[in-house]
Amino acid sequence: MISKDLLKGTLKTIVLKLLEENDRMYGYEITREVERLTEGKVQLSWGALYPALHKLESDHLITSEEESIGKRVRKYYRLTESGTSAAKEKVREFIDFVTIMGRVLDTNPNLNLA
Amino acid sequence: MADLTDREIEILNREIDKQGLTYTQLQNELLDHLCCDIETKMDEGVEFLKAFEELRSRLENRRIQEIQEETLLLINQKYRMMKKFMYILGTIAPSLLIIGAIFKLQHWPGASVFIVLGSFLLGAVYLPVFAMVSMRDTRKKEKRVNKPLYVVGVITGFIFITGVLFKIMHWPGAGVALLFSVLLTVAVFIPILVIHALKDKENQVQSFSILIFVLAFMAVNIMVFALKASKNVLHSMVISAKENMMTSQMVESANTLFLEIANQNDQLSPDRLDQANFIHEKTAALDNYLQEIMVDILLATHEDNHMAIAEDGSIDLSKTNYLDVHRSTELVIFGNEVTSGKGEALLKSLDTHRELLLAQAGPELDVIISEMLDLSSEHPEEIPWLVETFRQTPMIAAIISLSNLQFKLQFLEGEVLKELL
Repeated sequence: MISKDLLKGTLKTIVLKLLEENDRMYGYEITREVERLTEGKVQLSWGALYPALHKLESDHLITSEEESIGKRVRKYYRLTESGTSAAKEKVREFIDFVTIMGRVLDTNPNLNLA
Repeated sequence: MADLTDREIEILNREIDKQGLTYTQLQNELLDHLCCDIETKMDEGVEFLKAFEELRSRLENRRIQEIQEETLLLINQKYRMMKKFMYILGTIAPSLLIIGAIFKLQHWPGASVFIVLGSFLLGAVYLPVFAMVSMRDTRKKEKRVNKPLYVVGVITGFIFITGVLFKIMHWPGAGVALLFSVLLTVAVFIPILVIHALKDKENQVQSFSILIFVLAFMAVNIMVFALKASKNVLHSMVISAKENMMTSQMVESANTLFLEIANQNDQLSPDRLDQANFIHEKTAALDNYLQEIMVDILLATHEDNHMAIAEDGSIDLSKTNYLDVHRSTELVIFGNEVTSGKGEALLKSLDTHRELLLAQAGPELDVIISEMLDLSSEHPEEIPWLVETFRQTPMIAAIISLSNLQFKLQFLEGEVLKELL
């Protein structure tokens, strides 16, 4: 399991990257997708995920649309134009970060992000 | 994938309600999330009730309210910053204006910097930010935002503040801006505000006080127009002082010419000619002393006024400024702890000169001399002439009095010369 402290700063990057690849997603779908990609090593708590989603929305990086499914409402998110470029920017920034950290911490991470 | 029944969804919904969630958007999302979570578990073969129980124990720990607060905090960040900014500006802008007003009143340098900066912050920054914050507040209460009210309010306020700024700085176009803002207020803003107040019964007190403030501001606006009148008064005082200077110079030239011709005339008695020349000298000396006092007053008023003084000591009043200052008049005439004033010496010289003229002139002219150089005040026992003429007297008024004295001296010299020769 990856610690929450490490995840905190990268949550937005993860969300943006996933939305870039998947057109539109809802909250639960995002947590499942992250779990699947990391083979269960990263579990996003909804306590962290939803505040982040709302923040991204208020910053106009993502938009949302609601769909009724029976008695409940499902909220789908998708990237805006500025969100798309923000996603690229964030991913690039993160790769830089990991590279630099690798140097600082003298490890040789086997990166497979690009 | 297992689908939850309506009843099961209702159970989950009630659970979320119980946690005290009020932000509808988040509520719907959490419900969907929990439903999906349980459905996945049911796919794995867990009973609904068992999955629900497990979820509930997790809910207690997660403290849903905290998540809601965090979400609201995150999405309201800009708004809270804007509000803070508004409060800070709301304190700084009027402070700058007040400091600028004090500087202006005291004629200290830098007044305009404060006034321009304060007005800019108030009109171009505070007003729009206030409108944005206020609009957001209204929207939050889930009420309709009266956009025209805000837009017209901000535009009118901006034009008004610009107009006042231009007026204070004596920049052109102030009158048009002020007039335009009054028209906008009366014809557009007040009607919109009144209609708004009639519709929105809840905030009528607020709307009413805004209306009162707007009306009070209009009164200030009109008073600013009145400032123009006092400027006109100062302007006509300048003209009057200029005329005094011009006529006394003309009479002086006439006297000089008259005396020159007389000096070449052998038939006149040398005694009388000596007397005439003596009076001409004395008059010129006193005239110069008056001129010196005027120059002193101008320079004591503001150093910029040296531009108005030519090398020969003559004064071009159209280049003077700070016409309404009276400290400088008092400083030159009455002095202060450090320097003594020139008033007493002036009074003595004028008295001596009057006696000199009276000794030379015949009885008919004596009446005119006594009357023109009468240095008694309207209330001679209470207030001496010097105090009446120069205490609390704006600089330009002192210049008028002094140049008027110059004219009288030259005029009387002329009369005495004519009588003597």
